[in-house]
Amino acid sequence: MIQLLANWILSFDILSGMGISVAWGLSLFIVAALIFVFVAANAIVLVYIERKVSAFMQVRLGPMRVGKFGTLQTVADALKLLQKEDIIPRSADKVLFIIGPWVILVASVVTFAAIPFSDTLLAANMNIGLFYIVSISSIVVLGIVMAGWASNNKWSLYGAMRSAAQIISYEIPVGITLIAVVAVVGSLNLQTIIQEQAGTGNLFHWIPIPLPNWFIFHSPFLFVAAFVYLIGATAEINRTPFDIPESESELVAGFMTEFSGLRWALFFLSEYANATLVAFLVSIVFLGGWQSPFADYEGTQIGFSIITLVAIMWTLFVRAKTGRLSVYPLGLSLVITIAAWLFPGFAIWMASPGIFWMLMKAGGIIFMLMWFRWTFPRLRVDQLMYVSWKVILPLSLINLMGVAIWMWLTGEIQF
Amino acid sequence: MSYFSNISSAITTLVDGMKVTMGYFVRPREHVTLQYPDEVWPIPTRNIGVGEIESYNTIRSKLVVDFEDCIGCKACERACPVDCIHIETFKAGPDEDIGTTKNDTKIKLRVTSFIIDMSECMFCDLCTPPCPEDCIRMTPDYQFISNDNVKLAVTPEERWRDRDHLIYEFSKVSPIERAQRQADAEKVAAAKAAAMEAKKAAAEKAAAAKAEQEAREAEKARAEAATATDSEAPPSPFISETPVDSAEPTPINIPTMESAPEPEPMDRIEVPMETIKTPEIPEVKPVSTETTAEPETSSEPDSSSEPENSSKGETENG
Amino acid sequence: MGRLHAEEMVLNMGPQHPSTHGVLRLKLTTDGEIVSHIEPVIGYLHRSFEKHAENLEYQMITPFTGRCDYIAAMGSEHGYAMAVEKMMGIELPERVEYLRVIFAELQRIASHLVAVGTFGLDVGAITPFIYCFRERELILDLFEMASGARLLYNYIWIGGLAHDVPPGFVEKTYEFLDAFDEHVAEYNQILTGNKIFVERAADIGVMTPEVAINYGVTGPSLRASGVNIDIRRTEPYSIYDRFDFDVPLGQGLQGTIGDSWDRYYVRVLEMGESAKIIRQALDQLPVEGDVKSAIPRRIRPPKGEIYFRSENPRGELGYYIVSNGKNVPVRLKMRSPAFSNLSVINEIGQGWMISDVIAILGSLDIVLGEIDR
Repeated sequence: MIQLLANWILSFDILSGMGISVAWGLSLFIVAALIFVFVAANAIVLVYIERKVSAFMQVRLGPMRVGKFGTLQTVADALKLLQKEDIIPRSADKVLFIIGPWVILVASVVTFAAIPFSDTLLAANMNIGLFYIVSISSIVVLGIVMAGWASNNKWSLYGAMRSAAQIISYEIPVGITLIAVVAVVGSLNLQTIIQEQAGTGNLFHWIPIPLPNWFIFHSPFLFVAAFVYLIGATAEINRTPFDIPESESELVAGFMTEFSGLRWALFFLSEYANATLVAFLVSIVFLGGWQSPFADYEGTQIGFSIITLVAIMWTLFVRAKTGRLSVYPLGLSLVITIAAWLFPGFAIWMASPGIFWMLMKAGGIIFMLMWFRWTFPRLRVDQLMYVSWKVILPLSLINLMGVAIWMWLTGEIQF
Repeated sequence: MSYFSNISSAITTLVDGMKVTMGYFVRPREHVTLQYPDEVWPIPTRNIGVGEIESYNTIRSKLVVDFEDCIGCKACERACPVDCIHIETFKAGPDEDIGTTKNDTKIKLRVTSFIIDMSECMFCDLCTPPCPEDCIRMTPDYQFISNDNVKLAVTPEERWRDRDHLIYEFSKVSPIERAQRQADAEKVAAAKAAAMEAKKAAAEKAAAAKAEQEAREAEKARAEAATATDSEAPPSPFISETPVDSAEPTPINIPTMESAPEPEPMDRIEVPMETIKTPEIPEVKPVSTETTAEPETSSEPDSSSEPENSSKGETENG
Repeated sequence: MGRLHAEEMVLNMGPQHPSTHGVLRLKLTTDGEIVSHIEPVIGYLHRSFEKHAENLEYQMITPFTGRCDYIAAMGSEHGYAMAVEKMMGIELPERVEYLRVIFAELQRIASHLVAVGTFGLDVGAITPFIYCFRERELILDLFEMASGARLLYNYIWIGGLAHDVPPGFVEKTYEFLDAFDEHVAEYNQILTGNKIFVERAADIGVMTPEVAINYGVTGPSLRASGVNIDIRRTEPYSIYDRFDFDVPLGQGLQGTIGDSWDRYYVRVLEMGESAKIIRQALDQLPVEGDVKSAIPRRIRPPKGEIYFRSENPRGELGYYIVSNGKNVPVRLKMRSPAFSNLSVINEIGQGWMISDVIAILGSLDIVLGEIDR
């Protein structure tokens, strides 16, 4: 993308004199700015969505005042945070206190350079994209420890120490789970991983249910691996039920206790950037990235019809069981199905790969994360370690072995 | 094996919980939020059967006084556990007609100041039942919102002003009349005090040392009895008694003189609180001691409110 | 290799901490995450209720009793009113007794809802807390209908009630009870059985019956340890002997008897029992009767003293009143259950992690207004 942008810049007569290196630098800067804008806007939107989702789950309404349905609430909040006084505690380690939030933010923003939003829209098509993301995102822990230590506050220190232990131990199962996928593809390039998942095939290779060729349906082991990765990643980005570094009912605010204003906003920004990153990664690695779930436009129509049927049955089932009528899922699927049958153009668009599918999948995963967060209690720090070392790590190792055996059985690889 | 059953139970129970939240998520219309200024909680209105007033409601918020019906008996002031009601009354002149309440009770006391400090009120509703005229009541008006309350620099004088909007003056007596009545009361009190001092001097000369000792002993006993009777007073049926009773402070209003006469702007907050509170402190002791020491004061023609005091003293003597 | 030098750190939790349930301060001596000593520091909410009471007439004290345990104001008022009535020997009309029981039990449900919800909040589950408060609001609506206030009622007066309940109250209470069982099932689904919650609460802070009795722990926290003491049953006051209800005891369903989970679950079960009592009371509620008929004109208990205890949602609430025959008590001592319940925290909280101390504190269900008084 940077190459394209540089070429495009040079294609103008006025600018062509600047030379290739200057154009490269300029386009690098533009791309970096675009990514940062994406992360910031993403955080603002996600905070709003999270507040609304949590409100609906908790029989509330959420923000309703600023803008229609409170849509501008997070913008107002962000403006407020920017205006707040810049407080550095007197006994804090000033240098680390200032650097900490920026380290976290940079670590989480820079990872987006390797995320392919569509087949062309990506900043850097690296051949070690997955490795790059995994390694860069672990730098976050450095920033957290910096912030916690520099605050000179016992609560912050506890938060930082918990966070360090947690992130490091969850790196391992998460990494091994990703290796299982890499073993299937044989490449760390994210574009290659996505392209491997094109088309449709049978569920688990043999069961005759036509499903997209995504890795989550590749084998039972990868199916489990997807959830293992989701759990591990939830822990890695410090979200409930693994939010012990900032657990507000125990550690006040954990490593963020002493931060306010802009610095606190940076924490928030990076938190949501990390959540988005995890969502993107799950959808890239297991859910086919920017691939459409439907092979062609007939597939779209049939697929949506099936989804609608399931929705109708589900609604009736819920109605029979609890006496309540939930019309929203049914209505939504019905509208899309009718649209898919009436407008072939819509169906074709739905069947074509692109950024829409990427965002839809990532959005679904983020919703899952929110759903977890507003349902579950929080684990204790030793239970967290138990889950990591005794449940998830063995599971991911079994998955890695299982995937290898599965591929040998299905004949994808020969010895 | 328990390892695997643990994992499976974790998965099933967590999914169970997720079902609940998702159930509510897809039914957002069951929300319980009330968007306050636009939607208001329907207050359960009901006449709880005290008096005929429609707005006499169970909901206990702002205290309201129908000043036309107030007879100045101070029953509410005594019933209040947090002393947020402050009443100042003066006895009406002999041929003065203040009016009658809706219950056809003749008002014998001019209520010059009736202040309720809602910032101190704890909404216990103990002041409304004792009212003989049902004129003090709690209304469902719970919005104590005002624009003019916040002041950044609060000096001790402005402390009252700071919660200005929470302090209600219900008395409709003009500041001029109030100052006039205060001045009158002071005159009476001053005259009485002068007469008393003269008498005292004379009595002191006349009385022997033994008599003095006896008088002191008696005094002590009576003071105790008097305080006991005073504290008994509140729950008594005061409709008939209290007007006379509360006229009591008038003659001994001496301490009010310093702060009282400020007739012009009538800042309704600063002055009255002190003027009302102070008379109650010297009220009990000096009255009883003087009456006991010198029973002649009761026969004084100029002291307007003395009969009550003397009668008290007499009953205790007898 | 030299010995690893480890120091203990004093961690000051509160009084401005999100989960100390008010303005409680806990001085934790910690060794890493492990807490080796807990010292509760109280008094931040002291309002000298007992000294106030010595200068107020008996009826004027009632609103202050509600302000002690502000989560269960009806219970406090009920106990106080019964203490003074026993001193004065007042016979109450049947309707008053039934209505009082209904209100006290509704208050118990409301209070336990707060306890259950905040316990969930302490271990990190935010949503059940909101569900619990939604139910509590319905109870507060009933209270508002009857008394005119939502939190501090001053409704149970000495010798009667402030007013009779409005028409439609009984139907609305039935309505609430019908919907309530379903909601309790919902809490169980989202929180009680939740594996993470069980891991956080079961086997944590086990309080043996001996410890509980030694520290004077009462109420659901005591019953969770398996001690069958409920004053409503063992020493029936008011008309509790007429109702059929169970006293839920901790059974150690998920771990040991007397752990935090048991303390939580006993409260969940007690809500159901309270609902049972309310149903019976509503069925038997006499239609006739003036709730104000027995209110004495002057409240002047005869010379003497009394200690009266009742079962508040938090435990045994006792009032010790000394009267010299005047309209002001000479001494009024309140035996607040939460105070004794809090004192056990060091015993059962030692050796657990910081997160567990929060969970144990939440399971004890304290109200600081009552502890500091």
